[in-house]
Amino acid sequence: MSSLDAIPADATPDALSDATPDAIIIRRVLAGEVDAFALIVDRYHARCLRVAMHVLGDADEAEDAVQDAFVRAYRHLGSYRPSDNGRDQPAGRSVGNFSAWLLRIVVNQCRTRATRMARFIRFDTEQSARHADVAAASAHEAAERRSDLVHALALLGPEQREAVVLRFADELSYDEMASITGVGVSALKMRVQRACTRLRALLAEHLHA
Amino acid sequence: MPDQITPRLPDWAIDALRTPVSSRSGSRDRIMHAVRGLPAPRRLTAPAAAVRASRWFRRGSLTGAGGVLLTAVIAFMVSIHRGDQLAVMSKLQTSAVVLGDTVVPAVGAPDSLGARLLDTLRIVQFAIRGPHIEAAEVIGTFNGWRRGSTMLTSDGHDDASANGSEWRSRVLVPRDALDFAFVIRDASALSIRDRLIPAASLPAQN
Repeated sequence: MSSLDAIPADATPDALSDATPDAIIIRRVLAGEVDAFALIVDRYHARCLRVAMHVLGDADEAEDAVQDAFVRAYRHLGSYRPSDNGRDQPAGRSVGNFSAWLLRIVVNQCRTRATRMARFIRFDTEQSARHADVAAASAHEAAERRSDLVHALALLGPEQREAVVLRFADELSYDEMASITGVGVSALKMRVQRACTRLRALLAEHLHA
Repeated sequence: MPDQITPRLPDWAIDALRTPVSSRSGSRDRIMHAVRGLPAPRRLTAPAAAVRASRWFRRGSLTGAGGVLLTAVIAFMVSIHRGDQLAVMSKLQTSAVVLGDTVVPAVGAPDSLGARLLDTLRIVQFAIRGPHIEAAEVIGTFNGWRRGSTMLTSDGHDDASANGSEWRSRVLVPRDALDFAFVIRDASALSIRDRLIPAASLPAQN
Protein backbone atom coordinates (compact mmCIF):
# COMPACT_ATOMS: atom_id res chain seq x y z
CA MET A 1 0.00 0.00 0.00
CA SER A 2 1.40 3.39 -0.91
CA SER A 3 1.34 6.30 1.50
CA LEU A 4 -1.38 7.91 -0.60
CA ASP A 5 -3.64 4.95 0.08
CA ALA A 6 -2.80 5.13 3.74
CA ILE A 7 -4.53 8.49 4.08
CA PRO A 8 -8.26 8.02 4.62
CA ALA A 9 -10.44 10.34 2.61
CA ASP A 10 -12.27 11.61 5.68
CA ALA A 11 -8.98 12.45 7.38
CA THR A 12 -8.29 15.27 4.98
CA PRO A 13 -9.39 18.67 6.19
CA ASP A 14 -12.01 20.46 4.17
CA ALA A 15 -9.94 23.61 3.85
CA LEU A 16 -6.61 23.15 2.14
CA SER A 17 -3.85 25.54 3.07
CA ASP A 18 -0.25 26.21 2.24
CA ALA A 19 0.75 23.88 5.04
CA THR A 20 -1.24 20.94 3.70
CA PRO A 21 1.08 18.07 2.78
CA ASP A 22 1.40 17.22 -0.89
CA ALA A 23 0.00 13.74 -0.38
CA ILE A 24 -3.32 15.08 0.91
CA ILE A 25 -3.62 17.59 -1.92
CA ILE A 26 -2.88 14.89 -4.48
CA ARG A 27 -5.47 12.65 -2.92
CA ARG A 28 -8.05 15.40 -3.16
CA VAL A 29 -7.16 16.02 -6.82
CA LEU A 30 -7.48 12.32 -7.56
CA ALA A 31 -10.86 12.38 -5.84
CA GLY A 32 -12.01 14.88 -8.46
CA GLU A 33 -11.21 18.19 -6.76
CA VAL A 34 -9.42 19.86 -9.65
CA ASP A 35 -9.03 23.22 -7.91
CA ALA A 36 -6.81 21.61 -5.30
CA PHE A 37 -4.17 21.30 -8.01
CA ALA A 38 -3.81 25.09 -7.88
CA LEU A 39 -2.08 24.65 -4.52
CA ILE A 40 0.46 22.38 -6.17
CA VAL A 41 1.00 24.97 -8.88
CA ASP A 42 1.41 27.76 -6.33
CA ARG A 43 3.80 25.68 -4.31
CA TYR A 44 6.16 24.56 -7.04
CA HIS A 45 5.76 26.93 -9.98
CA ALA A 46 8.50 29.37 -9.01
CA ARG A 47 10.96 26.61 -8.27
CA CYS A 48 10.27 24.76 -11.51
CA LEU A 49 10.46 27.98 -13.47
CA ARG A 50 13.84 28.86 -11.97
CA VAL A 51 15.26 25.49 -12.96
CA ALA A 52 13.75 25.65 -16.45
CA MET A 53 14.92 29.20 -16.91
CA HIS A 54 18.54 28.41 -16.08
CA VAL A 55 18.54 25.19 -18.11
CA LEU A 56 16.86 26.59 -21.21
CA GLY A 57 18.06 30.18 -21.01
CA ASP A 58 14.87 31.48 -22.58
CA ALA A 59 12.06 32.91 -20.49
CA ASP A 60 9.26 32.07 -22.92
CA GLU A 61 10.53 28.55 -23.49
CA ALA A 62 10.93 28.06 -19.76
CA GLU A 63 7.37 29.25 -19.09
CA ASP A 64 6.00 26.92 -21.74
CA ALA A 65 8.09 24.01 -20.49
CA VAL A 66 6.86 24.51 -16.93
CA GLN A 67 3.25 24.82 -18.07
CA ASP A 68 3.54 21.63 -20.11
CA ALA A 69 5.19 19.92 -17.15
CA PHE A 70 2.33 20.83 -14.80
CA VAL A 71 -0.27 19.70 -17.32
CA ARG A 72 1.63 16.48 -17.83
CA ALA A 73 1.94 15.99 -14.08
CA TYR A 74 -1.81 16.45 -13.71
CA ARG A 75 -2.57 13.95 -16.46
CA HIS A 76 -0.30 11.34 -14.95
CA LEU A 77 -1.02 12.13 -11.31
CA GLY A 78 -2.64 8.73 -10.96
CA SER A 79 0.67 7.04 -11.62
CA TYR A 80 2.52 9.01 -8.93
CA ARG A 81 3.44 6.84 -6.00
CA PRO A 82 5.58 8.05 -3.15
CA SER A 83 8.24 5.60 -2.13
CA ASP A 84 7.73 3.84 1.14
CA ASN A 85 10.44 5.73 2.99
CA GLY A 86 9.61 9.09 1.52
CA ARG A 87 8.07 12.00 3.32
CA ASP A 88 6.23 14.84 1.70
CA GLN A 89 7.01 18.02 3.53
CA PRO A 90 4.19 20.35 4.50
CA ALA A 91 6.12 23.39 3.43
CA GLY A 92 6.86 21.85 0.09
CA ARG A 93 10.28 23.44 -0.12
CA SER A 94 12.46 20.52 0.76
CA VAL A 95 12.81 17.74 -1.75
CA GLY A 96 10.04 15.32 -1.01
CA ASN A 97 8.89 12.60 -3.31
CA PHE A 98 6.40 14.67 -5.20
CA SER A 99 8.74 17.59 -5.85
CA ALA A 100 11.38 15.19 -7.16
CA TRP A 101 8.75 13.54 -9.37
CA LEU A 102 7.61 16.93 -10.64
CA LEU A 103 11.16 18.16 -11.22
CA ARG A 104 11.85 15.02 -13.23
CA ILE A 105 8.99 15.96 -15.53
CA VAL A 106 10.24 19.53 -15.77
CA VAL A 107 13.76 18.40 -16.62
CA ASN A 108 12.43 16.02 -19.26
CA GLN A 109 10.33 18.80 -20.75
CA CYS A 110 13.38 21.05 -20.86
CA ARG A 111 15.42 18.36 -22.55
CA THR A 112 12.72 17.78 -25.14
CA ARG A 113 12.33 21.46 -25.90
CA ALA A 114 16.05 22.08 -26.01
CA THR A 115 16.59 19.20 -28.39
CA ARG A 116 13.68 20.12 -30.62
CA MET A 117 14.45 23.79 -30.92
CA ALA A 118 18.22 23.59 -30.58
CA ARG A 119 18.05 26.10 -27.78
CA PHE A 120 21.29 24.96 -26.34
CA ILE A 121 23.03 26.31 -29.39
CA ARG A 122 21.02 29.49 -29.82
CA PHE A 123 21.09 30.35 -26.15
CA ASP A 124 19.40 33.71 -25.69
CA THR A 125 21.69 35.15 -23.09
CA GLU A 126 20.37 38.69 -23.23
CA GLN A 127 16.81 37.65 -22.61
CA SER A 128 17.91 35.25 -19.93
CA ALA A 129 19.79 37.97 -18.13
CA ARG A 130 16.86 40.31 -18.51
CA HIS A 131 14.54 37.90 -16.74
CA ALA A 132 16.93 36.88 -14.01
CA ASP A 133 15.56 39.48 -11.65
CA VAL A 134 17.50 39.97 -8.51
CA ALA A 135 16.03 41.74 -5.56
CA ALA A 136 18.88 44.20 -5.52
CA ALA A 137 19.12 44.52 -9.25
CA SER A 138 19.80 48.20 -9.08
CA ALA A 139 23.49 47.72 -8.49
CA HIS A 140 25.26 47.91 -11.80
CA GLU A 141 28.06 45.60 -10.77
CA ALA A 142 25.66 42.90 -9.60
CA ALA A 143 23.79 43.13 -12.87
CA GLU A 144 27.04 42.80 -14.77
CA ARG A 145 28.00 39.74 -12.75
CA ARG A 146 24.64 38.21 -13.37
CA SER A 147 24.92 38.81 -17.07
CA ASP A 148 28.38 37.22 -17.11
CA LEU A 149 27.03 34.22 -15.22
CA VAL A 150 24.29 33.74 -17.77
CA HIS A 151 26.82 34.00 -20.59
CA ALA A 152 29.07 31.51 -18.83
CA LEU A 153 26.19 29.08 -18.31
CA ALA A 154 25.40 29.37 -21.99
CA LEU A 155 28.88 28.19 -22.82
CA LEU A 156 28.46 24.99 -20.84
CA GLY A 157 27.18 21.81 -22.44
CA PRO A 158 23.54 20.98 -21.77
CA GLU A 159 24.36 18.12 -19.41
CA GLN A 160 26.80 20.18 -17.35
CA ARG A 161 24.39 23.12 -17.25
CA GLU A 162 21.54 20.89 -16.09
CA ALA A 163 23.72 19.35 -13.39
CA VAL A 164 25.07 22.63 -12.05
CA VAL A 165 21.62 24.24 -12.02
CA LEU A 166 20.07 21.37 -10.08
CA ARG A 167 23.02 21.29 -7.70
CA PHE A 168 23.31 24.98 -6.91
CA ALA A 169 20.07 26.66 -8.01
CA ASP A 170 17.85 24.02 -6.47
CA GLU A 171 20.20 22.90 -3.68
CA LEU A 172 19.68 19.23 -4.39
CA SER A 173 21.83 16.42 -3.13
CA TYR A 174 23.47 14.14 -5.65
CA ASP A 175 21.08 11.32 -4.77
CA GLU A 176 18.13 13.56 -5.45
CA MET A 177 19.69 14.74 -8.69
CA ALA A 178 20.23 11.12 -9.71
CA SER A 179 16.58 10.27 -9.12
CA ILE A 180 15.50 13.30 -11.13
CA THR A 181 17.86 13.01 -14.07
CA GLY A 182 18.30 9.25 -14.23
CA VAL A 183 22.07 9.74 -14.30
CA GLY A 184 24.41 8.03 -11.86
CA VAL A 185 25.78 9.89 -8.84
CA SER A 186 29.38 9.55 -9.98
CA ALA A 187 28.62 10.94 -13.41
CA LEU A 188 26.71 13.84 -11.86
CA LYS A 189 29.61 14.67 -9.52
CA MET A 190 31.94 14.67 -12.48
CA ARG A 191 29.64 16.91 -14.49
CA VAL A 192 29.25 19.38 -11.62
CA GLN A 193 32.97 19.45 -10.98
CA ARG A 194 33.79 20.08 -14.61
CA ALA A 195 31.05 22.68 -14.88
CA CYS A 196 32.38 24.48 -11.80
CA THR A 197 35.91 24.43 -13.13
CA ARG A 198 34.74 25.88 -16.41
CA LEU A 199 32.51 28.47 -14.77
CA ARG A 200 35.26 29.59 -12.41
CA ALA A 201 37.56 30.04 -15.36
CA LEU A 202 34.96 31.99 -17.29
CA LEU A 203 34.08 34.15 -14.28
CA ALA A 204 37.66 34.61 -13.10
CA GLU A 205 37.48 38.39 -13.17
CA HIS A 206 34.59 38.37 -10.67
CA LEU A 207 35.94 35.75 -8.30
CA HIS A 208 37.58 38.23 -5.99
CA ALA A 209 34.88 40.83 -6.19
CA MET B 1 34.23 11.55 -3.98
CA PRO B 2 35.81 13.16 -0.91
CA ASP B 3 34.32 16.36 0.42
CA GLN B 4 37.66 18.17 0.13
CA ILE B 5 37.30 18.39 -3.62
CA THR B 6 33.60 19.19 -3.60
CA PRO B 7 33.21 21.72 -6.38
CA ARG B 8 32.09 25.19 -5.41
CA LEU B 9 31.00 28.31 -7.17
CA PRO B 10 31.49 31.85 -5.91
CA ASP B 11 28.83 32.84 -3.40
CA TRP B 12 27.52 35.61 -5.60
CA ALA B 13 27.06 33.12 -8.45
CA ILE B 14 25.15 30.71 -6.22
CA ASP B 15 22.99 33.59 -4.98
CA ALA B 16 22.29 34.60 -8.56
CA LEU B 17 21.29 31.04 -9.45
CA ARG B 18 18.97 30.85 -6.44
CA THR B 19 17.32 34.17 -7.07
CA PRO B 20 13.64 33.78 -7.97
CA VAL B 21 12.77 34.25 -11.61
CA SER B 22 9.86 36.47 -12.54
CA SER B 23 7.09 34.73 -14.41
CA ARG B 24 4.59 35.99 -16.94
CA SER B 25 1.38 37.26 -15.47
CA GLY B 26 -1.40 34.70 -15.46
CA SER B 27 0.87 31.66 -15.60
CA ARG B 28 -1.08 29.96 -12.83
CA ASP B 29 -4.41 30.71 -14.48
CA ARG B 30 -3.20 29.35 -17.81
CA ILE B 31 -2.06 26.12 -16.19
CA MET B 32 -5.34 25.72 -14.31
CA HIS B 33 -7.31 26.52 -17.45
CA ALA B 34 -5.43 23.80 -19.34
CA VAL B 35 -5.87 21.38 -16.45
CA ARG B 36 -9.62 21.95 -16.20
CA GLY B 37 -9.98 20.97 -19.84
CA LEU B 38 -8.48 17.55 -19.16
CA PRO B 39 -10.24 14.46 -17.88
CA ALA B 40 -9.80 13.94 -14.14
CA PRO B 41 -6.76 11.82 -13.33
CA ARG B 42 -7.48 8.41 -11.93
CA ARG B 43 -5.49 6.41 -9.46
CA LEU B 44 -3.81 3.61 -11.35
CA THR B 45 -3.98 0.22 -9.77
CA ALA B 46 -1.50 -2.48 -10.57
CA PRO B 47 -0.40 -5.63 -8.83
CA ALA B 48 2.17 -4.92 -6.16
CA ALA B 49 4.70 -7.17 -7.89
CA ALA B 50 4.37 -5.22 -11.13
CA VAL B 51 4.82 -1.91 -9.30
CA ARG B 52 7.89 -3.23 -7.51
CA ALA B 53 9.38 -4.58 -10.74
CA SER B 54 8.69 -1.25 -12.43
CA ARG B 55 10.58 0.56 -9.67
CA TRP B 56 13.50 -1.80 -10.05
CA PHE B 57 13.59 -1.13 -13.76
CA ARG B 58 13.44 2.63 -13.28
CA ARG B 59 16.16 2.61 -10.67
CA GLY B 60 18.31 0.45 -12.88
CA SER B 61 18.76 -2.09 -10.10
CA LEU B 62 17.07 -4.89 -12.04
CA THR B 63 19.88 -5.81 -14.37
CA GLY B 64 21.85 -8.81 -15.45
CA ALA B 65 20.82 -12.03 -13.76
CA GLY B 66 17.80 -10.41 -12.12
CA GLY B 67 16.40 -9.33 -15.46
CA VAL B 68 17.08 -12.70 -17.04
CA LEU B 69 15.47 -14.49 -14.09
CA LEU B 70 12.40 -12.28 -14.15
CA THR B 71 12.04 -12.70 -17.90
CA ALA B 72 12.37 -16.47 -17.56
CA VAL B 73 9.73 -16.60 -14.82
CA ILE B 74 7.32 -14.47 -16.85
CA ALA B 75 7.95 -16.55 -19.99
CA PHE B 76 7.41 -19.75 -18.00
CA MET B 77 4.12 -18.51 -16.56
CA VAL B 78 2.93 -17.30 -19.95
CA SER B 79 3.82 -20.61 -21.58
CA ILE B 80 1.94 -22.55 -18.89
CA HIS B 81 -1.10 -20.34 -19.30
CA ARG B 82 -0.89 -20.51 -23.08
CA GLY B 83 -0.42 -24.28 -23.08
CA ASP B 84 -3.40 -24.72 -20.79
CA GLN B 85 -5.52 -22.53 -23.06
CA LEU B 86 -4.44 -24.42 -26.19
CA ALA B 87 -5.20 -27.76 -24.51
CA VAL B 88 -8.74 -26.66 -23.75
CA MET B 89 -9.26 -25.10 -27.18
CA SER B 90 -8.14 -28.28 -28.91
CA LYS B 91 -11.15 -30.07 -27.37
CA LEU B 92 -13.64 -27.46 -28.47
CA GLN B 93 -15.46 -27.03 -31.75
CA THR B 94 -16.93 -23.65 -32.54
CA SER B 95 -19.13 -22.50 -35.39
CA ALA B 96 -21.02 -19.43 -36.47
CA VAL B 97 -23.41 -20.05 -39.34
CA VAL B 98 -25.22 -17.22 -41.08
CA LEU B 99 -28.72 -18.61 -41.61
CA GLY B 100 -30.07 -15.65 -43.56
CA ASP B 101 -31.16 -12.03 -43.54
CA THR B 102 -34.10 -10.49 -41.81
CA VAL B 103 -35.63 -7.06 -42.06
CA VAL B 104 -36.88 -5.31 -38.95
CA PRO B 105 -38.02 -1.70 -38.36
CA ALA B 106 -35.14 0.43 -37.23
CA VAL B 107 -35.25 1.49 -33.60
CA GLY B 108 -36.64 5.03 -33.29
CA ALA B 109 -38.04 5.18 -36.80
CA PRO B 110 -40.48 8.12 -36.99
CA ASP B 111 -43.66 6.20 -37.79
CA SER B 112 -45.73 9.39 -37.66
CA LEU B 113 -44.07 10.63 -40.80
CA GLY B 114 -44.81 7.39 -42.49
CA ALA B 115 -41.16 6.79 -42.93
CA ARG B 116 -40.14 3.21 -43.31
CA LEU B 117 -36.55 3.09 -42.29
CA LEU B 118 -35.35 -0.42 -42.33
CA ASP B 119 -32.24 -1.98 -40.97
CA THR B 120 -31.01 -5.30 -42.20
CA LEU B 121 -29.83 -7.84 -39.68
CA ARG B 122 -28.46 -11.30 -40.14
CA ILE B 123 -29.58 -14.40 -38.30
CA VAL B 124 -26.48 -16.14 -37.03
CA GLN B 125 -26.38 -19.41 -35.15
CA PHE B 126 -23.47 -19.53 -32.75
CA ALA B 127 -22.52 -22.93 -31.42
CA ILE B 128 -19.73 -24.38 -29.34
CA ARG B 129 -19.23 -28.05 -28.53
CA GLY B 130 -16.91 -29.54 -25.99
CA PRO B 131 -16.60 -31.41 -22.72
CA HIS B 132 -16.89 -29.98 -19.23
CA ILE B 133 -18.72 -26.82 -20.27
CA GLU B 134 -21.00 -25.59 -17.52
CA ALA B 135 -22.19 -22.44 -19.27
CA ALA B 136 -21.44 -20.63 -22.49
CA GLU B 137 -22.13 -17.26 -24.00
CA VAL B 138 -21.08 -15.25 -26.99
CA ILE B 139 -19.76 -11.72 -26.94
CA GLY B 140 -18.83 -9.49 -29.82
CA THR B 141 -19.24 -6.17 -31.49
CA PHE B 142 -22.97 -6.84 -31.90
CA ASN B 143 -23.50 -6.71 -28.12
CA GLY B 144 -20.65 -4.38 -27.24
CA TRP B 145 -18.54 -7.25 -25.85
CA ARG B 146 -20.79 -7.24 -22.79
CA ARG B 147 -20.88 -10.36 -20.70
CA GLY B 148 -24.23 -11.90 -19.83
CA SER B 149 -26.26 -10.47 -22.69
CA THR B 150 -26.20 -13.43 -25.11
CA MET B 151 -26.19 -16.76 -23.32
CA LEU B 152 -26.07 -20.04 -25.22
CA THR B 153 -28.31 -22.94 -24.30
CA SER B 154 -27.27 -26.53 -24.02
CA ASP B 155 -28.74 -29.48 -25.87
CA GLY B 156 -28.80 -31.26 -22.53
CA HIS B 157 -26.68 -34.19 -23.60
CA ASP B 158 -23.59 -33.69 -21.51
CA ASP B 159 -22.60 -37.32 -21.17
CA ALA B 160 -18.98 -36.52 -20.36
CA SER B 161 -18.00 -38.24 -23.58
CA ALA B 162 -15.26 -36.98 -25.83
CA ASN B 163 -17.67 -34.67 -27.65
CA GLY B 164 -19.43 -33.36 -24.57
CA SER B 165 -22.40 -31.08 -24.93
CA GLU B 166 -23.33 -28.55 -27.56
CA TRP B 167 -24.31 -25.02 -26.66
CA ARG B 168 -25.96 -22.80 -29.23
CA SER B 169 -28.12 -19.78 -29.81
CA ARG B 170 -29.58 -17.86 -32.73
CA VAL B 171 -28.83 -14.17 -32.61
CA LEU B 172 -29.76 -11.18 -34.75
CA VAL B 173 -26.49 -9.56 -35.71
CA PRO B 174 -26.01 -6.28 -37.61
CA ARG B 175 -24.28 -6.76 -40.92
CA ASP B 176 -21.25 -4.77 -39.88
CA ALA B 177 -20.72 -6.62 -36.58
CA LEU B 178 -18.24 -9.25 -37.58
CA ASP B 179 -16.02 -9.90 -34.58
CA PHE B 180 -17.06 -12.20 -31.76
CA ALA B 181 -15.74 -14.72 -29.25
CA PHE B 182 -17.13 -17.34 -26.93
CA VAL B 183 -16.86 -17.34 -23.16
CA ILE B 184 -17.28 -20.69 -21.47
CA ARG B 185 -17.34 -21.78 -17.86
CA ASP B 186 -14.80 -24.57 -17.92
CA ALA B 187 -15.12 -27.28 -15.29
CA SER B 188 -12.31 -29.48 -16.57
CA ALA B 189 -9.93 -28.47 -13.80
CA LEU B 190 -10.41 -28.63 -10.06
CA SER B 191 -11.56 -25.03 -9.97
CA ILE B 192 -14.22 -23.81 -12.36
CA ARG B 193 -13.03 -20.83 -14.37
CA ASP B 194 -14.21 -18.70 -17.24
CA ARG B 195 -12.25 -18.96 -20.46
CA LEU B 196 -12.29 -16.72 -23.48
CA ILE B 197 -12.37 -18.75 -26.69
CA PRO B 198 -11.51 -16.61 -29.71
CA ALA B 199 -13.19 -17.37 -33.00
CA ALA B 200 -12.81 -16.31 -36.61
CA SER B 201 -14.78 -13.26 -37.69
CA LEU B 202 -18.10 -13.63 -39.48
CA PRO B 203 -17.93 -13.34 -43.28
CA ALA B 204 -18.72 -9.86 -44.54
CA GLN B 205 -21.01 -11.31 -47.25
CA ASN B 206 -23.47 -14.17 -46.90
